[in-house]
Amino acid sequence: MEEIEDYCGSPTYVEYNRSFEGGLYKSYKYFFASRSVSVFDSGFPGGVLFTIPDGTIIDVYQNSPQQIYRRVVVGSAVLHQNVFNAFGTKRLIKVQSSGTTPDGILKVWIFNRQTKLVEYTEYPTPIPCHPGYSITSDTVLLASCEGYTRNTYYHDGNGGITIQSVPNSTLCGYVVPAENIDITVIQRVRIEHCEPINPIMLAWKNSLGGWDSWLFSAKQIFSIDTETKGFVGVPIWDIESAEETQKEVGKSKQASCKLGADNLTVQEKIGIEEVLSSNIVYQLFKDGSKRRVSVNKGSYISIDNSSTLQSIEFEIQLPDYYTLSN
Amino acid sequence: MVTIVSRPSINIPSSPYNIVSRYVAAYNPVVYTFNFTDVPDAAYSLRIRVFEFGSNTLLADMNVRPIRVGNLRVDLSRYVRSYLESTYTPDFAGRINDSEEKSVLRFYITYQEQFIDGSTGALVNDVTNYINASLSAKQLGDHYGQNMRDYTPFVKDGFFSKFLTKFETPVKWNGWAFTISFIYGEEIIGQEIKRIENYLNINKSFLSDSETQLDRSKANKINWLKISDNVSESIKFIDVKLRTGVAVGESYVYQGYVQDGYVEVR
Repeated sequence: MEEIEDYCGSPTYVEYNRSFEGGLYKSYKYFFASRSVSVFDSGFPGGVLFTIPDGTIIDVYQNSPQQIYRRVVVGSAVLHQNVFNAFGTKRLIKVQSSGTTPDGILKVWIFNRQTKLVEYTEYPTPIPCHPGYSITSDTVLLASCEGYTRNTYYHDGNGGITIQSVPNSTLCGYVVPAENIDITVIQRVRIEHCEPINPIMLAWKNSLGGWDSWLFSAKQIFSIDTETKGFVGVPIWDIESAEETQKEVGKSKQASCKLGADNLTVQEKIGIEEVLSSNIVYQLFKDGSKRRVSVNKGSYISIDNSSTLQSIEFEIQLPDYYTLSN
Repeated sequence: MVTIVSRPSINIPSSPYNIVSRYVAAYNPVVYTFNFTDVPDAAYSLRIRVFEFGSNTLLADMNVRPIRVGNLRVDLSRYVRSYLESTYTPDFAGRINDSEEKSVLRFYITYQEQFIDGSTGALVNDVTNYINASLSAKQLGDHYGQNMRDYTPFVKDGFFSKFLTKFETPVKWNGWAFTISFIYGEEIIGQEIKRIENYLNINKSFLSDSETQLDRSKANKINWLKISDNVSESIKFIDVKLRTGVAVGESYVYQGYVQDGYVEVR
């Protein structure tokens, strides 16, 4: 279809049919505000004659109280289809046209109160002139109590839904408990005022999802492991002045540290042993800084000092050093 | 036809109101059980989608095929846990509790039957039964299985949730940072929450106590709770617990709530 700008009369109407009937040129226009058709007669042709295909949907709107209609072109008439008769089931939240003649699309977003989802539909239309519609984002689409939780559904402005969910809502029959009710067990924490020799604090993520910590004693401050990254040959042009036959490419350097804890009760040992299986372990410093470390596999030793007190040792790998290597 | 027979959450009949424990350990199976009353052919399937609660972001999209009538279990843990992560970053500036941002994923599912001719059944949205998956793992034989019921605070006579520690009695060294973790669940956000500390001497006799309010904006996550530091030499134990305060009304809104600037156009 040839593009003619008169098809769309700004956002107020769309001309959907232009024909010659009874000796007159007739222009059929659908006005969005009144949702009605007006026919204009003329004795002179005003542009190319055309008609858009039967069944083309040119408007979708919600009629109060809760019914959605589509406007469909059939010949020179515009008929309405009652899309949804169920009271309160669906709500039109947004309409938008896009594209250009003749490849336009009418986009429709409808909120389904039963499924609590938005149903999105595209209708091809050769004349994409709909002025657009979007309900305000403070319009309540649905408010319901799910147990004691009150869920309120709103349009997010983009054809989607935002949910305001308020658990324990008095609007849903929840009775606010009295003040000064204990909600956790009493967790006893022992306070130590003396530090071990060469203290190293570790904090680790335990299997429950919380963080535990312990102040260990460093049994061996550092052991350094280095590893060469290989050698490359050096061309020799003058044996008298040459200093080397090969160069070392680089070296890597890792440090590890042996930690221990003494005089542990069985329960303390059980708590500490979680560090062995945790993949998230940090060394914490008194100034608030920290670094990630890992426990070396196979380094754990458990020593029974007596029937009630035990000692443990294990190694941690510290972060690799940066060296002058590629 | 398909219906949900069970979810990872558990219902606990209680008075004056029933409790739904929604927190589950994401490193255990996170299981939904569906019951199929009809399996018309080999191509019949159930499309399950996982969305983040609140933002409605699609997290996973899958099809499962029942081979016969009856129950089918679907484990979503590997989808859910990929959105969780943990780093040690507590910030106690001006507060005594802080949240681990990606420690809990709140999600819900939708499901829809898919037939061989391309048609689909009704879309079912289970958003009101959303689940909170925490970065946790429970062990065989644990009470309530993979549900974190014992660690989720509720206001219920006679019930006291546990802290997320593997120590029976954690130890704090004076002068060193120390925290204890807990689930700051939505079930207690309608009120102020206070940390109560009782200070005991070496004989475990009471010396003094303190009461400090928590920061409510850190709710719906696993929290670090700071324990008082640099206490006097006479204090050898601190008994810590959480207690409700005054009601604060229904004022909290999920992130992504109503956007400004949208008006009706005609």
